[in-house]
Amino acid sequence: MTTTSLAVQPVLNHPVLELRGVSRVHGHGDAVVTALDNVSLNVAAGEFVAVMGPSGSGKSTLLTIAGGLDSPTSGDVVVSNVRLGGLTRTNLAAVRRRSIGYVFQNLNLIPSLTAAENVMLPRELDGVPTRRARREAVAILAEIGLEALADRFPDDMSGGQQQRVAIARAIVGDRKLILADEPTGALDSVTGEEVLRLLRARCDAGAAAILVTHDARHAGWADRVVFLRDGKLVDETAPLDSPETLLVAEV
Amino acid sequence: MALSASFRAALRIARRDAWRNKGRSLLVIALIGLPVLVLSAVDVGWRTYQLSPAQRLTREIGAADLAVRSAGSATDAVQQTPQGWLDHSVGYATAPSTDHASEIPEPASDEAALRTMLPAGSRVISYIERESLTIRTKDGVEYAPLVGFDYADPIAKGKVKQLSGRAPRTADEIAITSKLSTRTGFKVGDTLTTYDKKSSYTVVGIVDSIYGRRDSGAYVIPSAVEGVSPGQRTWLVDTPGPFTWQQVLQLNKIGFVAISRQAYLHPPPKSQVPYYSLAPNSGGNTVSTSAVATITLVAGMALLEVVLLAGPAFAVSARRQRRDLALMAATGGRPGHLRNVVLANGVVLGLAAGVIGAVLGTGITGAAMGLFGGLIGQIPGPFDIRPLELGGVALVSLLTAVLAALVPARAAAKTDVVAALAGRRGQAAIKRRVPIIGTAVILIGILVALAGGSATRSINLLLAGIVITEFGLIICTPTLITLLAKLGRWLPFAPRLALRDATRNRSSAAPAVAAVMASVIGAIAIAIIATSQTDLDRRSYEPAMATNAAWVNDDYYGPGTPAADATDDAAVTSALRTALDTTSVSPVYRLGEPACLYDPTPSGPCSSANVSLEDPTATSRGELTGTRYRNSIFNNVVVDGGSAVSTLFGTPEPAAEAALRAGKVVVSDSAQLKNGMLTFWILTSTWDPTQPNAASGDPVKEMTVPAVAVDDGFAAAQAILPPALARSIAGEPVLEGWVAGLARRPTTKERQAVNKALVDIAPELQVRTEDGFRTSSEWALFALVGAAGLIALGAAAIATMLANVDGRADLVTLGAIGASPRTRRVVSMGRAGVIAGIGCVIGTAAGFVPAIAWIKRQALPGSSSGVISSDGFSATSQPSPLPPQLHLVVPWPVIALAAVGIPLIAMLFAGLFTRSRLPSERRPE
Repeated sequence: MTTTSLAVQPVLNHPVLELRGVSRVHGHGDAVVTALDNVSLNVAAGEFVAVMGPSGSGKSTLLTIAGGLDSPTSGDVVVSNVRLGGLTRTNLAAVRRRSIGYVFQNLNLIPSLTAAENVMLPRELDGVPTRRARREAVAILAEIGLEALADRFPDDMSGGQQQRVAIARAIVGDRKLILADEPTGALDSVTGEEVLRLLRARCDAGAAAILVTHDARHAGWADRVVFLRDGKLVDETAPLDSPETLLVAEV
Repeated sequence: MALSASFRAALRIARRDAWRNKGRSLLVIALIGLPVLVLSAVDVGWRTYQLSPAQRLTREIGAADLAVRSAGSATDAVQQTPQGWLDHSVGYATAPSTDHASEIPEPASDEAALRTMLPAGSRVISYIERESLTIRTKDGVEYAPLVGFDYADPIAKGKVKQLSGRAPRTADEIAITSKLSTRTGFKVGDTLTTYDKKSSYTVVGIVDSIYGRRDSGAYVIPSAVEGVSPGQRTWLVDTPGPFTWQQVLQLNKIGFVAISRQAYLHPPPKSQVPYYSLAPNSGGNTVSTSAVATITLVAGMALLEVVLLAGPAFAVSARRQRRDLALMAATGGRPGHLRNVVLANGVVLGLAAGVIGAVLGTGITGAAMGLFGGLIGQIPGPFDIRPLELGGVALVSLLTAVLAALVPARAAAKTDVVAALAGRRGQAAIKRRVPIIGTAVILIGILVALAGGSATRSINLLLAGIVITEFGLIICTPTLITLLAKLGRWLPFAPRLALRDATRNRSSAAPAVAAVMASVIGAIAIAIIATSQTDLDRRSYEPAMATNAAWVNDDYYGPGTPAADATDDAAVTSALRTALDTTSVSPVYRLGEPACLYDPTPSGPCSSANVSLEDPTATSRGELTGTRYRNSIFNNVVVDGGSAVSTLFGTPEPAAEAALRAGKVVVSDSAQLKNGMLTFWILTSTWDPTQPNAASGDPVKEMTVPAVAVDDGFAAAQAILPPALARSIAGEPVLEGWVAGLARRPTTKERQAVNKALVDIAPELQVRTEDGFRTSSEWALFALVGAAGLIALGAAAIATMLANVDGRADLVTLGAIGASPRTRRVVSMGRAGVIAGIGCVIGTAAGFVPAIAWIKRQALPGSSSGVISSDGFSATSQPSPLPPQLHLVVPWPVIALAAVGIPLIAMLFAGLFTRSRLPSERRPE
């Protein structure tokens, strides 16, 4: 068995996300498909990691497993020191509410809720009183310069605005892990840049982010780029110079 | 905080979602709001018609303190309830009803006796209800009850409502009700004359009886009716102080019943009411628990139907929210949160439907009361809205909606988040035990309905069996759809795709199929039962005359008094021939009767003769001359010279005509004859009316004459005697009436024309026709299946719309590979056909279960068979001594319509309302 472990060991910061030898196999017998094959990956606070690879290489599976939406066939996923493997569906949902934020390619927002209501949804689901949840949501929107959109419905926003609101929802409640699956895929290049700049800024403010993307230019915003092929981590770019990260690579 | 923040978020999403999808929301609100609308309309109407005791009292006794009636015999003690003749009309203890008023003597001492019982200073007025007044109108004759009543007296205030004019003041003035005014055309100032022209009145006022606008009636002052004919007199008394229950009991002792304001509004304890000690159970009305159970079961079935119909709509909602739900899960929503979002749809739409339904129902009743109040039944009281009750009714829709959303909500909680986010469909497989449980439930239901329902004759067990069977079918429906989908590989493309789609969209297809099924089960069951019942009615129907015969005589209830004067013969014959399409008209005679029978001042002995075809010395039960033969309207023994016999039997009887002309007797039953001879017995009775107690012992005379039998046609009489023979037995035969053969059933116009012509000859003459067995239930059955069809169409439409939306991507692919635009339409038709077809075919089959159970139950010994009565104009019929049994009769046209017609119509509609153009791929924005 080929081990393609690109263990990333942050020195100063404890990793927000740790994948330890994660594999995900779909189907049985002849129809078996290995979506992820023994992948290990650590992402530290403040770190922005881009994941690249061809279609079917397991990028999206990596994100769903990292966020606890899907569970690995083998291996461990640890988010903010919590091992997801042993959790019930309800506790997994709680981890997502408090520690993880998702941003998808499109249709991120619930159309019947306004921007502010979309952002406050995870907090409300967490039982935070509506008034306080709204205050927090508006504060986050203000922080990223979108307070004017607070009472607009998704249908009345541009694609870029929708994606930025989705990022606001991903970080509300002081969540530390943003999982973004081609968030710029449906956007033109200028709007895409704005979204990435926002993600970068959130990482600089202390969040950890994984960005799945096809586009090498987008990967350029990341601190580090890892490559997936047929479910295996096959390569990574040299880390950008950064005082917080020291990377050790084993191939 | 009453609601958790997360449920508030769910409610917010549901509210906005409902607003964004207005069409679907309106559909659901209409579906689940309709029962609430009906219930709240009924509630408000019922409450409005429920009068308070004070209101009821005013209608009964006006402003008086006491109303008194004689119980019939002024000396016998009576017992009564405190609320008197108004609420309880049981037993001897209450006042006789006005139906028998004319039979009651009116002792002159009554009022004097009453006055001695009243406290000093009392003022007494009275009113007298008479038999009907016969009024001459420009079109003919109208009847109305006549009341001698000075209703303008302050004591009477509240009993009669003056609409225009004033109350009568002199004996030749009259006030009539608005109904009578409309019927007769009399207005204030007109002169009203009685039919006998003995009295005439000037109409001085138009009134409404407080009991209702539909009441026909007329009011004159009491002195105008006194001494004319006996009637029920009621005294209204204004006493100086309250008239107590103890005083009422004193009145009871001398044969008066009374309603006292004091006792009515403040009833004494039951221990003080002697009436209750005799009839302890008559104090209140109890509704049997079994009736409550029946109502609950029927209402439950109706609710189940609504739940099933609304179910697909919520499934559609949940399906469209799939991505939203997945996003919620991604942002940390628990399965419970996702379930709540779908349930919140039910809460929002259910509340909206409840409020809208209750408000509309109240409004409709309010409007209807204003327009029609008092036309049906009594005049309603003030508009009475009970917010608590209406709130409770509105909760019904909340309950239905939440129940309908329950299954989609459970499914939503199990959403495969990854699949939903990736845009893939996820459908959980059906657990293996589900169809097994469903089948078991179906079997239990059938067992309960067939065995329980028919063995114990309990209607509730039968209904429970139906409900259980329906539940079982609903449980099995998803499995059934999946199984049927496997047949798809042998089908052409469109139905194959439709079947596979139904499997993929089980969450909405299954309730839609179940809704179709449930409505068809009910319709088919009722159709089979009604058809079987109609068949029984047809077999039990006993005509009173030959079909399409008409009979004119002067006594509705059959033989008795002598017919109209023989001089009317020509006039009646001509009236019948002119007004109706007759084939023959003949007078019919009966055995002669001596004049002394009708002599009001008999002076000596009198004798009359009867004929019996059975030996009166051998059996005590002989059919006598005066009685009727079986169900025939004619006398048992009829006298005819040959002109009427064919019309009486309803078929040409040349042999019988010839026999009568030759002086032979005609009988209906050949068993009566021996070698062409009939033996009968003549019973002569002689009595002396001046000495009523003298016994008479006349010998029975046996006689044997040549006779023929008529075995076909309607057995109108046991024997028809030729006039010569009749004359030798009892003297000159008496004209009984006229029988006419009709070419067809008379129209309403013809009936009215003949009525008028006959009334002009003599007002007592009545005409009856025999129309044969008639039923309108066939149309009702088709209407019933039509209603089930509408439900089926609705359910199929909802499910087809959903499948079309979900199948859009398939159509894009189809378009891309070169399918013709027609394909979209055909696929849509296939989807509708699958939903409606599965539901209708299974529903039709399952509908036989309750029908068979019902028929088995009716067939048990001791069950009552229906008594058929045709309309009042035609003859009435009685059940024969051994009533025919109910058999299963299958209404095949209705079955075919349900099983094949409804699915075809559903497909047709789907085809009509689907666009042909194939969608093309569009990049998501």
